[in-house]
Amino acid sequence: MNRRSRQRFAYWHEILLAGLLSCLLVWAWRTDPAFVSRDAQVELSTHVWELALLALPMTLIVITAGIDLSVGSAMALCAVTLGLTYEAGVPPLVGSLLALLVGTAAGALNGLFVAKVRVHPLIVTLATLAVYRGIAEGVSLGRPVSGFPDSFGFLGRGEVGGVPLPGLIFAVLAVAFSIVLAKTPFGRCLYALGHNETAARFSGIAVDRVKLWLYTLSGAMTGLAGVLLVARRNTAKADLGAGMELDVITAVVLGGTSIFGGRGNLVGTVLGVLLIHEAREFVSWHWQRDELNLVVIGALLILSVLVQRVLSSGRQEERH
Amino acid sequence: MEQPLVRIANLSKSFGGVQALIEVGLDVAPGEVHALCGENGAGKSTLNKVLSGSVVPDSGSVTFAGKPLRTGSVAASEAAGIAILHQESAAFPHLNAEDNLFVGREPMRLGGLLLDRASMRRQTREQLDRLGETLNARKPLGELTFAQRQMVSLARALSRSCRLLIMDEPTASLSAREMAVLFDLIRQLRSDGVSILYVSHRLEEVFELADRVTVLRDGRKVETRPVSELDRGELVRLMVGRDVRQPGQTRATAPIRPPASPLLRVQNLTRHGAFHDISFSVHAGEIVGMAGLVGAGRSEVARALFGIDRPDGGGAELAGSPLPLGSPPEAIRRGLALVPEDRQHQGLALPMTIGENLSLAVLRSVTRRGFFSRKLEMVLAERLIGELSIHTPGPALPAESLSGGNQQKVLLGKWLAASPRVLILDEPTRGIDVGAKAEVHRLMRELAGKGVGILLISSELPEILSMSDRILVMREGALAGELNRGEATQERVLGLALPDAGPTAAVGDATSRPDDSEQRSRPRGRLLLRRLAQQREYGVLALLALTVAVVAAVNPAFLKLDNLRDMLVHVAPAAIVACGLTLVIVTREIDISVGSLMGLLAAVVGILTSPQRVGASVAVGVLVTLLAGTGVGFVTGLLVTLGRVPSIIVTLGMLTALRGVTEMTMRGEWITELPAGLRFWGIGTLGGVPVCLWVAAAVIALTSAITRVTPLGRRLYAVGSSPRSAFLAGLSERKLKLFAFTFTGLLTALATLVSAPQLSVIESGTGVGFELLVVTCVVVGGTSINGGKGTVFGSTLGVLLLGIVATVLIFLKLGEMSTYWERAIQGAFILVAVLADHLARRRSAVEVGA
Repeated sequence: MNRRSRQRFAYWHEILLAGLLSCLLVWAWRTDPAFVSRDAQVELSTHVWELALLALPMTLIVITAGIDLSVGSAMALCAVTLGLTYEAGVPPLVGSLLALLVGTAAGALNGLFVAKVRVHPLIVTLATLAVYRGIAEGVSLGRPVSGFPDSFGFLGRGEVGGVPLPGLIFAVLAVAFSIVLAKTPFGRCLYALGHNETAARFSGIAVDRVKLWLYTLSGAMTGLAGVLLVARRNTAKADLGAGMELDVITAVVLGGTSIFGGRGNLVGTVLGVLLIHEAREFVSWHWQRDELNLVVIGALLILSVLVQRVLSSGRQEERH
Repeated sequence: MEQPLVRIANLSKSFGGVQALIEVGLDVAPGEVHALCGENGAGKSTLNKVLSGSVVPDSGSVTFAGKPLRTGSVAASEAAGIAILHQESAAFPHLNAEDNLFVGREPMRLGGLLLDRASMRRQTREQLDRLGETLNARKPLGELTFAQRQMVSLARALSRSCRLLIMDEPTASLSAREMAVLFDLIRQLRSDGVSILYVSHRLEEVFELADRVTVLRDGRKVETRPVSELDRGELVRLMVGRDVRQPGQTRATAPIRPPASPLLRVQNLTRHGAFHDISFSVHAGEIVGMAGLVGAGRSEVARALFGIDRPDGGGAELAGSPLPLGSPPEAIRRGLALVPEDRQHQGLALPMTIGENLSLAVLRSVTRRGFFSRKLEMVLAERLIGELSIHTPGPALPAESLSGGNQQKVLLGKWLAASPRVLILDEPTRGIDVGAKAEVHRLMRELAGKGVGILLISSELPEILSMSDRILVMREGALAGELNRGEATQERVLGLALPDAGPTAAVGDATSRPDDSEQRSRPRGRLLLRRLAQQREYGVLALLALTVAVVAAVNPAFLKLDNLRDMLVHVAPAAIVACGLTLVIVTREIDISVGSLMGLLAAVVGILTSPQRVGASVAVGVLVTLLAGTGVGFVTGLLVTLGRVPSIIVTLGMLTALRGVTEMTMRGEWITELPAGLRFWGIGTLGGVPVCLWVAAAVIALTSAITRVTPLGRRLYAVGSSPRSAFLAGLSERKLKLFAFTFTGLLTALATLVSAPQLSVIESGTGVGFELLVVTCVVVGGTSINGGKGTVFGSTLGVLLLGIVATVLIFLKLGEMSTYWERAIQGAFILVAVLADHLARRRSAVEVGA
């Protein structure tokens, strides 16, 4: 049995990430100063907001030792909902609300299977990844919908006081999520669930209800992300966000949230998102080869967990 | 005087400050039945585990057949000739009896390549006949009754020629007939010169079988005596001790209970397989003790009252109003609290801090206006730490840094914070030191004094006797009796708790055979459906036949040979990879990178062999592709086994990285010309049948053979069925999983070779979505994501089913819509499959998990 009697400094990982980020930015500045200019960064930041938004609920889910692979597909489904309703004459704001509803429903379905049918979230969300994407493709027949009014586009492209609007929305939500995680009983339940689901049940925590809410919340966020994405790109297509779930999970795991549950926070996630974003954008900027990104992200994901494992090798992992 | 077979000298072992064995010494002669007796916690299991190699003693030695025994090694003990029948099952629920008997040391033919099935069957039958067991040796163990599983475990222990057989409570759930057979066997073994170390609470068995008996008490050996010199009363007295150690003061005055209505009233509570018709009450300020042997059903009653398990009948009332059962939050709200017996797994979240653990059950009360108040939590924690004298520098330390006794106090404190009206304590002083124990007892009395009703479940007789106002004694799932404080003695309690030899009571039968009665009462139609759901392969086959029939009726062109052949060619790659993925999922892992790997390998073979590019020979192209695929699979496996990175992460990362490498290699260009030699692989025919079908058939046959007739195959299923039992049997989880991943890599390469030529172009998008398709086929085909279950046959059926569905969409003239809906349908298939699994599992007796 491990006895850790000294208090651990809890923020090594975040400091490490901040360090990596700084190194990256310094190197980028030395190589290509235009990259780190304010204008360039603001411009590039438009690529990251959906990823950042989805990383918020994903952090919570991974803390409970769960996973949600369907976020990209659910987002596409919401986007398609918005597009098709707009085509049918519904004002985009109403369409956005419908999209939010669809996302929430999608998340709730995940939650039902995870909590009530008690299927491993990996399998459920692997299946819904296909189902939601398939429905999006089937219903829209692959056709894009564009031509949204500028007023709507403001949601995705507008700035308020020099800060992109999606960025503001993200900031507000990030703070809200942090507060929920760190300062509410619900957040405490999540950590307990991740550490020891059995003990959580025995402690009177309504584990099934928590899980249901969590996945539903994730679904709602995919709705929001979908709406913002459509507003930004002025187009709603069924293939939006393909592969996004991988980026989100990488950002969360990179940010220090343990895939086994019980540990993690949103500061780390935000740093993880930033790190991935800057690495990716710089690779595109400098080498102009998007494919290299994929390799970098994939390798980062594996490495971050490998390092976590090596560092915590004192922990008992499998009980026999 | 003959030399003893086993000589144990000065054996000591402590677990976290609690002495389990203190300088124990004993001898076992060859050909002797030596009984080991003592109360729960006396040290018997620890002694057994030292002998069998699972536990390393702190000091002392074991000499076996004149030679020192290397302790702490299961292999060394087995090699020396020690076999053990564990009390808790170390079996594989998904494997049948034959496999359970031989996993890890299978009889083999052809130099270790094939299983000697005939020999296995024969030997299994022999062993089972020896035990008088007529069970079906082909059924998975999880579908047998508990008694039958015990017999199989026994058969496994016996199938090795051993010199010492340790049996820990072997008759726990056996009927009279099975027990008689067992006793004959034991006598037979004894006359063959095998020694038996026999642990049992059933003293009649000790008197019937044993030559000598050793009594342990509180970790020490009391005495070893020939059985002929003892009678039951004396044996009990030895177990219990003439001078009963008083752990603390008895209650000074027996509080007079006003004839008020009880605080907690339990009525006819029943749960199949656990307990039956339990009724009792607890009054305010009363401490009711619940005594009984391990497995008597006490913890199960507690769990049912608290709402963790749902009872099958009966009810309870708390403070006069009915207590809704099945919801712990509700129970807490009404004022009921349970301190569970397993503090590590059920009680505390060890990595969390002491303060966090203390507030876990009362989160609402440390919340102000929706926000969690650290200050309130700190106040609560410090108060509890003080009240309970928890020895810790502060509440911010992780709970796992505390000693056992202090951890138990934290667990208690957590529930005290909930201010319960009725507190159920399950083994509250197990494994903690004397000082902490005394404090817990003091606390209990204080609480009772304040009017809290306490139900104390304990296996320690002195504790029960000194603390309880009334004692309920449970035996084999029923209430055997009730004793008041005045009339209770250790002998009387033990007398009620110990089962008699002979046929177990009615509830014992209910305990052992739940599914038989269930089956009898179900109508035949539902039985059939259940079988279909459980035997997934049959269900899929039925669905397959149905679909084909329907489509053929709608559009007869479907049944044309050309069309069928095209369809099979189309699904051949998926069928090939599904074989590998079946093995991976059976071992409780997953691989979602196969599609990306395929894309990469397609690029590799394309670049190498196309005259547009490198233009190497087909042979080179094929070889490199096979090597590359195997290599990537191997690396994936290494990361999962050695790196201990969860397979979902590794393969998720691989999925992206490989896709990136592919795109970088292809640089956005397409390959359109492939050499004829390569095209032969995919589109060529051999004897009229396309080559790809030959390859697929060969792979399916090979993988099927691996799973059915090789030791490797059986071990893969064993590892997935129960990693813990696999560990106990000495299997290498790492090597087995590494094989599964490497094999899948090889098969992916093969699938690429077979499919690439079918495409008119190779581009970097090749293979996208493939992994989902294959996982769907495997899961639909009956392979369980929890491991241990699934067949190559089922996966192939899954592939065929999904292939037909894809073709159907075309034939139903949906046109281009079919491709769009294909993915949704695949995903829906998985959801339906897991739903079906869930419904089937709820009624099935198969155990899942380690």
